[in-house]
Amino acid sequence: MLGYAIKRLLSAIPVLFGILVVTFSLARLIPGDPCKAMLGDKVSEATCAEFARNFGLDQPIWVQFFYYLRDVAQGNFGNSIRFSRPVSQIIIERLPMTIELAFLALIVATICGIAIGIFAARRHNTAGDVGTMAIANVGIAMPVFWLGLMMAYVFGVALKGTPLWLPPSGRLTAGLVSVPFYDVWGWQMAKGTFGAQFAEFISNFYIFNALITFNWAVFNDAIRHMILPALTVATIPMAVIARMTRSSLLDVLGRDYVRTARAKGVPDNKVVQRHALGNAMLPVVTILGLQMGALLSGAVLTETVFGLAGVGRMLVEAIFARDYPIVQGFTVLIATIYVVVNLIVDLSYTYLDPRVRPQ
Amino acid sequence: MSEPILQIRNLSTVFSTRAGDALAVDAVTLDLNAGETLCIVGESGCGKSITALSVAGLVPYPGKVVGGEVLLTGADLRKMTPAETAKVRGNRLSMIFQDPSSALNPVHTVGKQIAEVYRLHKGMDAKQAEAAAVELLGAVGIPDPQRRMKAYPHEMSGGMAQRIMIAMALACQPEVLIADEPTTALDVTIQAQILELMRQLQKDFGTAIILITHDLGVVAEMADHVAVMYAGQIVEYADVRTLFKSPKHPYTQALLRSVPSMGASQDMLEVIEGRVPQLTNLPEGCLFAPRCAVRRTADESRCTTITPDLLRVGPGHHCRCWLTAPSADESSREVELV
Repeated sequence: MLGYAIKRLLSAIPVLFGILVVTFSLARLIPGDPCKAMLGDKVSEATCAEFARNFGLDQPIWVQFFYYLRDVAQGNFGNSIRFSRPVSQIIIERLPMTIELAFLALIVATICGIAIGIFAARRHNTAGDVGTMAIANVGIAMPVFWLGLMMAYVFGVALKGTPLWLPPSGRLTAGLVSVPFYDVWGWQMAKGTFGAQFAEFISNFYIFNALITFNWAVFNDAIRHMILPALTVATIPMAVIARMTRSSLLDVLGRDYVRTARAKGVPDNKVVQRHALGNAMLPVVTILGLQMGALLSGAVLTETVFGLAGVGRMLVEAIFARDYPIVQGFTVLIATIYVVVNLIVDLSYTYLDPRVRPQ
Repeated sequence: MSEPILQIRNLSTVFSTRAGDALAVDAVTLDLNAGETLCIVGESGCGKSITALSVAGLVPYPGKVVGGEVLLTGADLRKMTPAETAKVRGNRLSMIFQDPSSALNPVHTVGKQIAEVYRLHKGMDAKQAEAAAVELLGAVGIPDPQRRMKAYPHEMSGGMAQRIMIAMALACQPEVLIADEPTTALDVTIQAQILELMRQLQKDFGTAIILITHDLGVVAEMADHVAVMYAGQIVEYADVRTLFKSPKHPYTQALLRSVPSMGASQDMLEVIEGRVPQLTNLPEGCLFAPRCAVRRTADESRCTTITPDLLRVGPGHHCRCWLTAPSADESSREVELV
């Protein structure tokens, strides 16, 4: 089992290398000159030459790539051209918010999606089934940014003054501050060390940070701010998961072993719970891994709509500004998350399905 | 003979299809005595499996039992609530199926699947159920049962898996076991072992068996009584000796002729010409008439106009055929199968 996990982990290395090659090349293929994008169209040749020298852009492509590889291996994604700050620092500041958003959305999408799928499958070919699946189709077809705007309008504007009102933008209400747990606990840490950076990274998970420091005001407020974005991001994956759960469960309910379970005298609801769901979940888990893509791309648009300072929005802005280091760093990061999630999905198979368990 | 343990009365099952309603089981009436084996034989698609599933109330969508009674020691299974049915199934009436490798749940160990029966019906806790399951595995001839408890179905051969199915079905020593082609998916030597096991357990537990098969060799081996089905109807019913010695229905006769005999050299196997009629497009009169070789030489107009009833043609012997029907003046005319 452990051997299998290690094998899968090693097989992820070529994939990650491929990601580095592709992101590096893609960033170079974006049309436009970074110098002109950054310093304006009227910049002089000499200034541009110096700009290129400063950022290593005058080197041959393969040399640039080699340096890039060396730096990435050291956790150094270079400095942002636009902000003149380390990309890694920007990641520390922005990634936790996106992870929080994606994680909440994933939970909502998974729980609701599976529940809806089961509901529909058990009412196969009835109004309940047809109705929920029609809604799920609408959910899949809905553009994320439109849904986000509608949600922000309904809950943030139209319902203002009612208990159903939810904040339509930002992470915290003005005036509230998320105090990092290491400050609360009085930790002294040397700036710039890995430990300090990691602690800062963790503290930027506002919900988690508030939880471990028992700051319930921030905790509630941070969650309230996440509800609308999380629902927005969750909608499409939820609909996909619901449809997959339904069709998979319907398939499984027609299998011989489900008939056997009924023939054994297992009551109807237990048949679904004990004998059908475990089997029906296999394709759903696959979809779950793939939906991470939808979650992350959904996060880009959602962060923009809800004014959240996350990875997605930063990435879009960096692309417009030809800020290569950020584009590269963030793309590698998102791709790595995707690979890791799918690695977890693969490993979870061996838990869910004894047939693929290595001997 | 005492009261039969299982009485099937006019059981009918319909499948609603695009092409129309198909009467897969047409007013089947059968009795099963305690400790006996009743074989239902027929070609593929004659409705024998659906009959079995109808008895157990497990007809798959879009099929539906539309009429009749299934009396287990007098109580009608069809009138029971789902909760009551669940108490009967696997406890007093069990079923085993054709393909054992797909009939076991791939994500649970076989031990858990067997123990579940004890937990459901005998109220045992996990430990007791496991102990009982280990013992049962030994009883159905699984070597090293303690270790096998933790195995998953995909780690077992077809024969082993069928033994597990049998163990599961007989865990509560049911009064009735319905075996739907239990040996069809197994190779011949394993077939013999499985049949022997069923017979042994029948002797030990006194379970009555309904055995669905298309293999006349299995029938000869196992049956006390035989019902021959054709296009959803029972066309002949008799005890096994009578059926093999003096089959009355032309279909039964043709079936028996089509079995190749050992030793005798045959150039061609006997076949029954034509095809099983489509259930959505049944012929008028006797359903077998279009394929019936005997009818072609006989002069009987009713064959293609009026469906014959299942009539008594001898002691305990019934046949659905105008050509073997007793003449109209005989008083046994209206005697149905009871």
